Amino acid sequence: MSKRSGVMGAAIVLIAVVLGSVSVVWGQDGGTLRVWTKFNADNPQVTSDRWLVQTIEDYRAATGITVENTYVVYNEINTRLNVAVQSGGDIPDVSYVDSQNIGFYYNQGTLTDLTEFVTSASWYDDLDPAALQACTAPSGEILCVPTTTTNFFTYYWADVYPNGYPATTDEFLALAPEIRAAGHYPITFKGAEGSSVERFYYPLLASYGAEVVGENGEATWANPESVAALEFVRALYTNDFAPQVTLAPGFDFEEPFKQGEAGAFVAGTFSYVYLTPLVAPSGERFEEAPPAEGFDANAIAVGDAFDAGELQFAPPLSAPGGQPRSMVLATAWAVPYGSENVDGALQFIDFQMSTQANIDFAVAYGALPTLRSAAADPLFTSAYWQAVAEYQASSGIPAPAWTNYDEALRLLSTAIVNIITDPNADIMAQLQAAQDEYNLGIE
Amino acid sequence: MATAAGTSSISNTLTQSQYVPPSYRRSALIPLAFLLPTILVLLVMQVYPAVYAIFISTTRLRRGVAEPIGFANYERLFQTPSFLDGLKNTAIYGGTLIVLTVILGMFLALLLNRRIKFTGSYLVLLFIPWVLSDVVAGTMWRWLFQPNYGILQDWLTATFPYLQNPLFTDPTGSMAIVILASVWQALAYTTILSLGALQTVPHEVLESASLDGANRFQRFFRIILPIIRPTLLIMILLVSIRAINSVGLIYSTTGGGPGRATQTASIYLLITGWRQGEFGLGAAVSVVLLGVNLVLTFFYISLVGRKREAA
Repeated sequence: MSKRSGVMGAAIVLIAVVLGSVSVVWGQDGGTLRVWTKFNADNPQVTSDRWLVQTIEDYRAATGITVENTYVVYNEINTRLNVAVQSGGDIPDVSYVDSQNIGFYYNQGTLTDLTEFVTSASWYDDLDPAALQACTAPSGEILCVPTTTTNFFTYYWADVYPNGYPATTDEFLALAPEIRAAGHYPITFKGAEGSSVERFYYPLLASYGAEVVGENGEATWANPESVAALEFVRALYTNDFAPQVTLAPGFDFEEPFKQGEAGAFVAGTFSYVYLTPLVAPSGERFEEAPPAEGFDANAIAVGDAFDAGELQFAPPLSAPGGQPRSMVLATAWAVPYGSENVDGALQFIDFQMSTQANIDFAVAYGALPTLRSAAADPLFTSAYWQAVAEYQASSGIPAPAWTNYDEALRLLSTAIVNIITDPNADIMAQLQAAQDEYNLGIE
Repeated sequence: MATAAGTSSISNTLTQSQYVPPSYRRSALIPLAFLLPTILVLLVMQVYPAVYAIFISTTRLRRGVAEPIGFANYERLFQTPSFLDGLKNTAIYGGTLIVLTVILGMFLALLLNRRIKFTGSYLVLLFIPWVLSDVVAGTMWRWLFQPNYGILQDWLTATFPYLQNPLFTDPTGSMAIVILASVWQALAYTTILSLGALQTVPHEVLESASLDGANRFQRFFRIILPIIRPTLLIMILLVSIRAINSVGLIYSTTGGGPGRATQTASIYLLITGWRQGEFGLGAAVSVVLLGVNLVLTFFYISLVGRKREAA
């Protein structure tokens, strides 16, 4: 065989191999679905990230469709989705959304109406009506499909509160000096940035009876009830009952509780995923223990501390004579306006709404599933999830229907931080200024 | 008539003297041809976006469609406390940054200009912050002053126990951190520029001034400063523009907080335009900032020009 024919032969073999590989790939490929989530499949860190990796694999195995996930940071995903739609830019086929933004989305026309799809779906009758309500626009259109619900309550160290966690703000303030004198901060929570309103401030305002949203989605923050609630918040700082790190951006506010320096922590149903390792005030460290029942594999610290009797749960603080309040938020899927693959998006959502898929996501995310068949699973009958369900039923309130939800969170949290950092600032005046600024932007 | 004829004659003479052969005219176009790519890039990358931003600022975007709303975004902007506070914070931040970076940069440049040992090493050390990304630098300063475990915050708490709150959660303190971080980063730039300018000062002039009995301060204020004044003004202009447009470092250090204590107008632009998706309002902020930058530019350039005319 001449040198030339040898080279030709090698080239033909190479081309055949390449074409064969391509045909194998083509044979397996069922298309691509572009998804936006707040979960990182490329660099999984927590259980919800790992859930997405698994889901992408499962979905490809079941349908042949490749899911391309774009990771968008949790506190920007809703606004960035809106930006993409309004600018006519890079719009995903389907996206994760937070139900509390539904008023904003409705106002902006960001999402596709899913009413027909949802009401004709096989899982429609199994869906928790309260969760579905969270995805329903004022017009009655269903704009998203809820997958889990989450709410906020209290984790506390039993050593710091041996007689249980106080129920009201008055009881708390009566007990706090003694705890502080013993060297512990009575409480830590997210005290700044938008999510502080969801986790702590808004439920507290609601417990004091404050109405924070008007009929047309406008802000109504400046009222005596809000002032009373924020006087309590200010007292937390002027008396050094809450660490200053609560006002720092990010998640540094968790550290005092994780180190056993703070007695209580305003937690979300999902907080157990992130609070690890834990050091109890007694000095006992919770880190390397088998997963506790009712928690996912990553939640060993909180679960173990709970099993050891060191960590306890309690409802949120309420106003004196009031009811404790906790904001209920739903995670959801939605199809943005301008999606180029609506059918593919609906197929993906349908896949996520099987009982098992709903359980898998709820466990990974740290929230209650929205399908009743999933919520009945033994995983959600543990003491932790029973407590979560009970708080949600007894204290749960929906998110305020501000027309520009994130802007409202930003302005209200900014006003509250001003009230905290300037002890002489007039609370009513600060709230009024923030309210006026917000209402200026309402069309 | 005689006057008219005379005028006509002068005019003809001038026309003849201004006659340019066609070949020369063609060669005169060659530089323009070389400049054309740059001009096109500038038009596409700078002028078009600026004009488009002005257009967007007079609209409201809904599902990719721009609805014209006149100057409503500007009216709203100048009634919005967040933006007005942002302008105030920009002035405080920018003013302090300019004063500190220019004075410190000049001071360091004067030291380095004395040809001390290891000048090259000092310059490299000085230059490191300048080449660091804003996010890395901001995160580093944030950690240094973190209320729980920040090294500098620990030192401050131990040294000044009367400082009740950590700097990071105090409105004035957080602005101080942001300014400190920005000065640390921009110092390399002003030092290098100042050093370059100082090295253009003729040595003979300084020597003869010394022989005439001028002391160190007189030499600096009477000779060096007037010579390097154009460079100094350009440096101030560039630091001003940088301060006005600065986002990354401030955002990664404090996020604009606590409250809106460190929220400059540019941070407000980021929040409004990108995080809230209000393109029209965000564009209006950018147009206002563009206007401020243009005014400053014309002001500084006119100062440089006036000095040249006087010379």
